[in-house]
Parts: sequence; C-alpha cells; structure tokens
Amino acid sequence: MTRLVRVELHRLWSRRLARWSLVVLFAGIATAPVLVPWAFREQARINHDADIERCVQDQPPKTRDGVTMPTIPADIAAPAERDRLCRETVPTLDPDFHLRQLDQIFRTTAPLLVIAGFLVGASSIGADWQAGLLPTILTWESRRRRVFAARLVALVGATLAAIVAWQAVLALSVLPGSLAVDTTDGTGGDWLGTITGLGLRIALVGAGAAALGYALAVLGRGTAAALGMGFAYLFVFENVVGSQFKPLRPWLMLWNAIVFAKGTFEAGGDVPGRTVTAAALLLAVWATAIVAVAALVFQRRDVT
Amino acid sequence: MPVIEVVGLRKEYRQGRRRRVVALAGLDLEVPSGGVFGFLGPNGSGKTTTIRCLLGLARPNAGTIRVLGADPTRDFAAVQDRVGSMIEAQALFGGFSGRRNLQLLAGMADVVAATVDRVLGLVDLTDRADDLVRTYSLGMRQRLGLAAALLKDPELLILDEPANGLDPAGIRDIRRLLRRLGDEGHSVFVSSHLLAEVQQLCDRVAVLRQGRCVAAGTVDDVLATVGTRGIVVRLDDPVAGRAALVAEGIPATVDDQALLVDVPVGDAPRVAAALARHQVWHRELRPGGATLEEAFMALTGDPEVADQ
Repeated sequence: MTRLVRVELHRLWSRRLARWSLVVLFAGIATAPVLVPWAFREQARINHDADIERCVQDQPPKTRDGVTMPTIPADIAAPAERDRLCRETVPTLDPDFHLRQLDQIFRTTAPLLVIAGFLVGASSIGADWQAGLLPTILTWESRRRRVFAARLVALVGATLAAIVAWQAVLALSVLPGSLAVDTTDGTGGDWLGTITGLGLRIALVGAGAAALGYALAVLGRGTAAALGMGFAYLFVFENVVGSQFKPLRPWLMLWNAIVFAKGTFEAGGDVPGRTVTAAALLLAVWATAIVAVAALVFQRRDVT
Repeated sequence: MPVIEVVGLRKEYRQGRRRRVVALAGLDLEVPSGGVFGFLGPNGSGKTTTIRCLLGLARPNAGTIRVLGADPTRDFAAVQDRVGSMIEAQALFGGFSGRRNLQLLAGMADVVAATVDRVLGLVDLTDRADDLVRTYSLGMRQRLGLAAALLKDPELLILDEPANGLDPAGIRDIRRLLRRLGDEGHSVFVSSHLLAEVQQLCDRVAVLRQGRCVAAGTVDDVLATVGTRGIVVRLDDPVAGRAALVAEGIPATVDDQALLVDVPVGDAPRVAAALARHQVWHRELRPGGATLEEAFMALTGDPEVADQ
C-alpha cells in the first residue's frame, strides 16, 4: 500500500493541472508583500467612503475594529451640511495591514484553494479515464480497492500539505512588511492558535473538496463529468433546493463547509444553530458517503 | 496445463437504456503453455473484450475463465505478477519520459531497476528513453507499451494488436522478439489484424467471429479448414512448364514464378511425370493451400472467398 501511495504521489505530480495550480498559487505569494498592504489601504478607503455615505443617508451605523461609526441628528436635513458633518465625524481607521488580520486573507483565498482542490481531485483520475491509463494501472495492481484507496490517500494528503504549505509561505511573505512598520500587535499565542486552526480547517475543506472531485470523476468517468456534477450541485441543488426548501439547507454541504472553515459558532449565522463540530461531522458523513459509493462503483465497473 | 482456458464466455454491453450488445456469445478457447498463439477476428468480433475479461478488467455475464489457473474476475491479483499485457494503444503518462513511466510501473511490482534498461533495449528505445512520451510517435508508444508488458518477465504475455502503428522494420523486430520469447518458453497470446505476420509468427491460432471461436489449432489446421486448391509447381521457366502440361492435357496457369495446376492433389505424380517427359524440371511441387488471409476471410464470412 505504501508503495502504491508513493507511486500515486509521483503520478499526481505529473499532472500539469497540479503543477500549474501550485505555480499560480505560489506566484500569487510573490506579489503578496506589495499586494496585501495595498489591498488593505484600498479597502480602508472604500469602507471610509461607505461609512460617510451611511452617515449622510442616516442608515444604521457599522462597527469596524470595535469602533461604532457616529451618526448625526436626522433633523439636519440639508445634504451639503450632512455631508460636511459626516466627513468631520466619521473617523479614518488605521489603513495599514496588521499581521493579526491574516485571517482575512485566509478567508478571502479559501474559496480559491477549495476550488483548486476539487479540480486537482477530479483531474487526478478523470484524466486517466479519458486517456485509458486505468487499464494499464489495473493490470499491474488489480486489487481495485487498493488502487482507489492509494489514490485517495495520496490526493488528500498532497492537497492538505499543499494548502497548509501555501498558507505558511503566505504568512511568512507578509511577516517582514509587518515587522518593518511595526504592525504585529495582537499576534500572541492565542492569535497563533486561532490562525493555525483556521488554516488547518480551510486545508481540510480543500482536501475534502479534492476527495469529492475524485469520487465524482470516478462516478462520471471523467474530469468534465465531475465538474458538471460539482457545479450542478453548487449552483442548482444548493441554490434552488436550499432556497425553496429551507429546512433542507442546514443539511447541505456548502454552508456547513463555511461554518466549519470559519470555525465560529454564530447563533443565526450561516446555518442557524449549527456548531463547528456538528458541521464537521455532517461534512464527514457527506464525504464518506460519496466516496463510498464511488469506491463501490469503481470496484464493480468494467474498465474499458 | 493450458495457460488460458475459456469456457462458454458471454459478455454483453449495455448501449443506452434498453439495448444490449452481445460482444461474446459463448466463447470457448484453450491456449497451451509456451509458444505464440494468434487471436484473430474482424473488428467487433470480441477480441479486445476477451482480452479485457482475461485481465480482469471486464466482468463476463456467463462462462468461466482461467488464466494461469486463476479466475481473473475474482482473483487476478494471484497471477498479476506473472502476466504482462498490452491493450490496444498502451496508455502511459505523456508528461513523463519513457524510462520514468517504466520506473513507476516497476515500483508497483518490485521489479528491479536494471530491468527497465533491459526492456528498453529489447524494444530498441534506449536512445529515446529519456524523452517525454508525448513526443513519441505511435510506433514508439507501442514499443514502450510492449516494454512495459515485458517488465515483469512474465510467463504469459497478452498483447492486443502490438504491431499497430509500427513501420515494416518495427513489425519485423516485434515479430522476432515475440518469436524468441515464444521459443524461450514464454506463452505469448497476441491478437492481430496482420495476417501475414500471424502466419509467420504463430504456432497456433484461433479465429473469432461474432463472439464465438470458429476455428482453432495450428496454423496448418486452420488453413486446412478451407481446403486445398490444386497443386503449385515452382520451376525456372513457368511458360515452358505450362506448355508441357497443356500438351499432356493437364490444365495449368502461370502465376508469377509458379504454375497453378488445377488437378486433385493426388495427381501430383502425374504432373511431375508430364513435366519430366518434356525435359522440364521442377524445383518444388506442393499442394496449393490457401493463405491465412483467405482462410480468415472464409471463416469470418467474406462472401467472395466463402463461395469458392
């Protein structure tokens, strides 16, 4: 089994999609020291403009970084006067990127990593179906359960490791900038634990997406079929069924994945009443069921 | 003990929801140990399906299969290290070199690293071994597939159309290699469309038609199933020979450097005597048998030959 997993890891690395995904992701990191501070300043400017606008329109104020934005009395009716007063009273928050805000980068990039995981998972066996590689492999190792499991282990392990490595390198790439401008406040042991947990949970969701992509590609005998099923689920099932039959929504994957990745239990949040542990269990049940069906089909299906 | 035994093998494929296509309709086949066994049949006759069943890749609907004594539908793993195979165009990783592909396969079965270089040499790919497979021609991919099949030094080699895409020199090289393997005691089971090659290469053949075996045995046995036609006489001057035979009342026609004499095989002494009387000396005189191609066409239903 170990030998098979090793061979499968080599095969996985031969995939152009796997290589290109890593190249693109790590190339993104090269731009992070410049891009991240710029993006945070830009976001601060946009937020400031929005807060002024809310103030002028007399809309409920937002709370940012623990500061609730001020309001002005509604009886000041002249738009020019309201605008002047709001500009004077709405504070400009610190626009610099602080290392403690790394979680925002992780959350923003998480969907990209999960999609990349799904694509790599789907193509890891989908391309083999298309190219006719499976007969070659199965005449060398005919125990299909072992082949299926070895691929799955290699894929999930590699995806998990790749995402964790990517997040670590990303964190290291923005660290020198934060040290240089002294924006490392609030990054003690607690923060390290929180950010590590967030990174690991995102990596787990990414690895789970890879396993799902793999399972769907086995069922559909191709990458395209897996992508079709994946997107049909996301955009049709989750959207239509989730919105038309609201009681079903807590049992679907997407929102539970969000609850799990965020790692925060919010009453009335993404899935009302769903704890992080319950979301993790539910996702595990979904993934296990789909992978088990795929394994069963792979075991019995003719390989042509 | 036969290396392959197939009894009553039936395989159906579903096409669409309701339609079922019968690929194998009760195939019986026995391949003895050692030598080269040719597996012939027109397109769609069930050759590749048979090979897939032999390798445990497809599950038959009925019938029994034994490959080296094991049932491949349940336990191909028991014999997988003793069987080398190549199915149609062997698919390998285009993004890896030929050598790397073989090293990965070798890693799956505890094959020693030196074997990779040996089999690359056997199929004459040593010079291109480090090039990416995606840069290979079809013939080179075929040879690499054959090298992969040889990696385990298998007792039984199952090859589906191994000469596809090869140039004449490549076909000759593969023929010599397979013949040598057969002579060394390996059992080589090879499907092919190249009937002249099969006739030169194989000790025994089976002919498949619509999922059933319609003829099997030595090449001579199969040729005999379509009968013999007259006598072939080789001589230095076929025109003079024809004149001599016609003068004796024996019908004959010139065909290249030979005479085709339209009499029963039992009349061979009469033909020899007639030529001798006219001072024409033959170099060879033999029954005019059909070629394997003619036999194949007759057995698989080509009306032009079947009517003869």
